[in-house]
Amino acid sequence: MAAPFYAYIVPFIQVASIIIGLFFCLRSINKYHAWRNDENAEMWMFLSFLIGGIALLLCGYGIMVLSFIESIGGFLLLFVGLGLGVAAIGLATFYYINTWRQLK
Amino acid sequence: MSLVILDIPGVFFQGFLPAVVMIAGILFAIQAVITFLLWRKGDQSFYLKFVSFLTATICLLCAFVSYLIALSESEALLNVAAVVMLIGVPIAAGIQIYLYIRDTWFSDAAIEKRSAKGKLKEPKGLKEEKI
Repeated sequence: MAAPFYAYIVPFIQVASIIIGLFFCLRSINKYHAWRNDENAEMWMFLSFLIGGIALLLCGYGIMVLSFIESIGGFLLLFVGLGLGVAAIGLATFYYINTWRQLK
Repeated sequence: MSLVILDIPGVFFQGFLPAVVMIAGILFAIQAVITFLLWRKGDQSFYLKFVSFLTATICLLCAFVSYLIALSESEALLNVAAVVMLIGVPIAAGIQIYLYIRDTWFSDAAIEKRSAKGKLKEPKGLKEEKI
């Protein structure tokens, strides 16, 4: 049962991470414009979306490589992508902590 | 030292992946708490963000716990975690996409900006009638 189950899930994760990665890159453009329009706090969200978008694209590409052949390159892409993803979530957390502190 | 000795897949699946999932889950949990507090403070715009972050937190923590159990015992729980993520991740990401579309095209500021540029057409009923 497990093999067909993962056979469906892996392509889904691959396509979803690439689509959401592109969406995040698109959203980082919005945040960039907001940051340049004197909303300095938006810099963190711009960086977060940009790094998050790149991370998801790397993860999607890594999964795609690994679905063809189990190579070190594919794992390295996943290592870098997941590391960047955590960094992006950390930046977004920092932004929300700042927002909370300013409203306090 | 050859790369085979390092056992890259083993390091990835048994060390790096659970650590990343745990850290991401904790960070999303912090975001969920902060957005919840901001929402309760009166800013209604944080409600959907809170739901999105809460969904992501539940998914990641569920995946982390299932993965830890799967490392020592049965691997059947991994399927449960996969199904939870299969449902939760589209919900969390979908809310973020919805928020983006709403803020970009349907917010008051966006509508004012478009009307200032003259991109909004006047409704037919409001046009002056020709004599």
